[in-house]
Amino acid sequence: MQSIAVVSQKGGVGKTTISLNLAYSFARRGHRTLVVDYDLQGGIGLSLRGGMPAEDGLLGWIYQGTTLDNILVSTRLPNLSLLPMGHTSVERYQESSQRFALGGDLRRLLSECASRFDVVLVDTPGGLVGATQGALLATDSCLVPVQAEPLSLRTLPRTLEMIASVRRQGAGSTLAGVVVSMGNVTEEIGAAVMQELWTELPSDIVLDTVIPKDKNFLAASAAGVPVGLLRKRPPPVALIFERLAAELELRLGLHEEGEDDEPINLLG
Amino acid sequence: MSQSISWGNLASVSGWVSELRKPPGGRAISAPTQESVVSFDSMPPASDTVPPKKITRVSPTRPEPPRFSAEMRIEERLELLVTWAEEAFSTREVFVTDESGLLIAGLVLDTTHVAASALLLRPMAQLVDIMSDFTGRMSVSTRDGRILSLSRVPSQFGFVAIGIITNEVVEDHHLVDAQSTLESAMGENQ
Repeated sequence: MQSIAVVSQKGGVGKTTISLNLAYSFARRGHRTLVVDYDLQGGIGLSLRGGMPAEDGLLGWIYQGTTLDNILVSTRLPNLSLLPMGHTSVERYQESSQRFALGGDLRRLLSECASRFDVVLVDTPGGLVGATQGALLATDSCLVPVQAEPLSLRTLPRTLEMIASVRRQGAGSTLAGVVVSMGNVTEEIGAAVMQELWTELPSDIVLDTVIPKDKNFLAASAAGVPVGLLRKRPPPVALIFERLAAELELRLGLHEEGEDDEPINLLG
Repeated sequence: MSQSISWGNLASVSGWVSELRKPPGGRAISAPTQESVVSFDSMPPASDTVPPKKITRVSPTRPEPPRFSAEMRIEERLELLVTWAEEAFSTREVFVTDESGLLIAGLVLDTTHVAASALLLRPMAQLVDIMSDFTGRMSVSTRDGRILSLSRVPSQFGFVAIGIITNEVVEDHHLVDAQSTLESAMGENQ
C-alpha cells in the first residue's frame, strides 16, 4: 500500500479537489483507493453531494473506537472509499488539532488499512504545522500542489523545507512531486510561474501533468461530485487526473510489470 | 532579464530538493553494544566541555509499537508499552509516572528520575497555556551525560508521562511514537 499526503502551506491551491479527483482516477485504474479527510474542517465531506455521515468518521475511530467497517463510506466505484472527518465540538477542536500533529493516529489507521487498500490519499488543511505535519510523519510520500500564481510559488520553498525537516527526524514522506494547479499558459504571470518552476527545480521534481484552470471544476464542486462524474461523458479536464494518476503510478512503483502488463491484442 | 517571481527562493532550494525524492538514507545504526546500554561504571567522567550529543537514528529492526485490545487490563497494556520502549530505545530504564510521582509502570535505577519527572509534568501544563503548539514532549540532560525524555498525555487519571532514560538524545519522531503508544495504552484513543 502507498499512502500519499496532499500538502501545501498555502490554502486554496486545490488540495481537496486534487485528492478527490486523483483518488477517483486511481480507483478507475484498478487500485483499491481510500481518501482520508485529515482536515478538521472536513473538506472532503463538504465537497460531496449529500455530505457525509454526521457522526463517527475519523474522529469516531480515534475517540470512540468505532470500527473501520463502520466509518468507511463506499462510493459508486467499488474500488473507491472515503473516510470523512466526522464532527468535533469546538472545545475538542484544539485538542484534536494537537493530536493530529503527532501523526500517531494516522499511522495506526494506515497500518489497519494496509490489507484493504492499494492507495490511500490523505487530504490535509492548508499550513505546515498541525495536521499537515502529522500527515508528513505518517505517510509514505507527499504530493505538493502549487497554484500557478506568485504567492503559491513563494511558499513552495517553505513547504519543501518542512518536508525535509520531517525527513531529518528519521521518518516521513518522500516527495512524490510538485504539481501545478490552476495553470493557464495564456495568462502572462501564470505562465511565468510555471516557467520558473520548470527551470529552477530539478526536472524530476515537477510533474509533467498540469491541472488547468477550468470552469468544470467549479461546476463539479457546485454539483458535489468528482469532475469525472459531472456528466455521462466527462469533460476533457477529467482526463488530466488519469494522466496524473499514471504519472504517480510510475514514480511510486504502483505500476507493476508482469504478465498482466503485456500488450493487449486489439483483435481479441 | 526579468525578475524572479519567487524572489530567488526557488533557486536556493534547487541544490538539495532532489534529496527529497530519495528514501531517507544513512539513518540506520548498528545494534547496541553491551557498553552502550549498561554500566554506570563505564561512563566517562564529566567534562567541562560537553561534546555535541549524538542523535539516536532509526534502526531498521526497530520494533513496531504494540497494539492494545479493549479487553486488556491497563496494567497489561503498560507492561507491553514498557517492554516495547525498552527494546525500541535500547534502554533498561523506562517508566510511566503521574503528576504525583507515582511509579505506575516500569523500572528506574534512580527514583529521583521519577520524582523529577513528576515535578516537570506540572509546569508542562502551564506551558500549554502560553505556547499552544507545545508538544508535551521534552528532554533534559543529567550530569552524567544521560538524557531523560518525557512524553506527556492526558488520561482519566490526570496527566501521565512515559520517561525514557538513554545515553543519547532520542529523535523527536520516536518520542512521538512513545507518546501516542502511551495514549493508546491509557485507553485515550481506543
